[in-house]
Amino acid sequence: MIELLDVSYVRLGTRNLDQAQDFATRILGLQVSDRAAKTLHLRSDARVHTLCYFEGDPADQTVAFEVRDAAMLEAAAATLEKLGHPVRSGTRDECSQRQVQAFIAFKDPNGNQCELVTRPCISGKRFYGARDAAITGFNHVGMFTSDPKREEMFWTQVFDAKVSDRIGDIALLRVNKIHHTMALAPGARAGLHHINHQVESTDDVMRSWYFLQEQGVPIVFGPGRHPTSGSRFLYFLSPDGMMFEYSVGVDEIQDEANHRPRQFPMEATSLCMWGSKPVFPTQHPAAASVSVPAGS
Amino acid sequence: MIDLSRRPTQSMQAVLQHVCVAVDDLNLAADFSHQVLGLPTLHVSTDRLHTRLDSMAWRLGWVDSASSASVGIGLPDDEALDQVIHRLQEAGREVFELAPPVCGSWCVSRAAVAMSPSGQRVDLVVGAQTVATRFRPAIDTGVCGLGPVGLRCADLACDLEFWVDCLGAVVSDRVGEIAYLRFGSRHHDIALYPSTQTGILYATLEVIDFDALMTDWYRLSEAGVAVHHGPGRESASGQRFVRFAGFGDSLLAFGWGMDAGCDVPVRPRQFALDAHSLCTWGSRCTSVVELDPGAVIPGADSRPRLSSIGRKAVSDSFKKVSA
Repeated sequence: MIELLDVSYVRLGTRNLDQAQDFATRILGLQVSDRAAKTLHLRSDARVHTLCYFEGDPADQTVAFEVRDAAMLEAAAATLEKLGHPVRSGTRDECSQRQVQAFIAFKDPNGNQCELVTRPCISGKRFYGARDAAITGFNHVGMFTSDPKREEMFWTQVFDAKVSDRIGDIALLRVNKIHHTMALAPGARAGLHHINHQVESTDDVMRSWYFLQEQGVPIVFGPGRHPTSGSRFLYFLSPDGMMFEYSVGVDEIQDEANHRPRQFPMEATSLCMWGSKPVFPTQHPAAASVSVPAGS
Repeated sequence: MIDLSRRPTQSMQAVLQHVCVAVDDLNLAADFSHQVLGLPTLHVSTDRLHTRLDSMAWRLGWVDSASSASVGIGLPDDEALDQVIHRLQEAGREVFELAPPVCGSWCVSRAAVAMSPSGQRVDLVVGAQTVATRFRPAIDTGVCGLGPVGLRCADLACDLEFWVDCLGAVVSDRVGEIAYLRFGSRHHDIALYPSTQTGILYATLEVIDFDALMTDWYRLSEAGVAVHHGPGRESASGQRFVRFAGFGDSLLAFGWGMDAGCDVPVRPRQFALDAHSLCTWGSRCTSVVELDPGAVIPGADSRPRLSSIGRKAVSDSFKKVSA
């Protein structure tokens, strides 16, 4: 079984790197750690980067997870190959760009692009976001799947992810104490459903809600509270159509041995206990490529 | 013998007891209270309804004329009431006691009425009754008590003297000329707002937690009730609030999380008069002139007033709910 430690970073293609930088800093509140001609690396916490934009197709999206060491990486590569998931090892230049010791790339059963990395770098310099969004770190991702049961089996049987809760057949998966690191989301395509950053307090979620509205950023869900993880949340769209989430107060699973996944029905109150409703793509012109948020 | 040498706050232990808001249509207000707020009303007289918010017999009153709208201050005993009456008379304020049958219908042992310099009616009551049956709203709104009352003050400087010198309130903080006043340890019970008018600006229904506040906000929005300010958080008091249209010129509000432990005397802070001083999250109110720092007070206000837009929004939505 492949053991995952944490989510490390996401990589997103963009047609307009300058626009992505403006959004990621002035709106989202991340910090530029490195800007090159065709890439932009951004920080959200102590790590040297947790988000990378590169010149390319916005549908080209990758999420990376950290594994313990080179031996685990090697074993993971062998396991995935054996199961019919072709694996590619990162080149020295690619590792250098990602500031990791080594990585492998593969696709999960839904075609979601994933990387496994060892020794992602931490920066000695404190994270200081471009605006006072009070971001405390990159926390989790939502991943599309056309077959939630198959996707759950892959991540819980090939990998060591565990189900924290389910909404209908949609699983919220954890790889450590945090309630979920992967939120599966129904969708016909491969890629990331949303990218979550934690903020310091509920005040910061609410401040950002007003700030984003003033800036004309499309709000697609919230402010609300997920009954699953307990977090107070806000979802909004980037210019490329990626859904970002601020949230605070994600539960941790304290009793790992005895935790039993709860089953929530597939209905609006399972996504938000306060009563907010996600804006469906047909209702929101800017959300043409976005489906219903996962219960995360 | 009345001992006036004692400081008012030491002697009186006053509390915010009730608030009575004026509404255009008592029957419609009663239906709204029951069906949207989950708060059944009790007919006290043809022109007056009472509503429970907690273990007390009532906290929120609905009256059919602006002159009957009042804020009620509870005093611990007859001696304290006598002191206040004496102090008010010394200050030249008119004050009169209510007849026993009225006190009976109000579920108090004794009551007097005074007028603030602006002309705001203030009820002074002793012996407000607690009810043994548990309070439980008909809808799960989380309402659990009476929060702060905002008052429009045509003569704020004189009103401030009235509240501090005669009634023993303490200034907690100021935003511009807006003054937050407390009787006990929570940040404020009364907020005085400069205005060209006099009356209740808002009455706050306290709720049990932030979840309840936000759920109530979505519920109001779904019912089509006009929310005029919030969800927000007062910078001075920390209170989270949602202020929405009532059935007259007064707003109603849900509130939670006001700073407590303010009984240690500290120097009141002076906040600048801007939107962020009234809401640290950034909510703005442009439809109620007293809550809009950009509005010029006193002076002509040509924008739609709450009295017109608020009533329409509530009426329209409530017809929908009733249907």
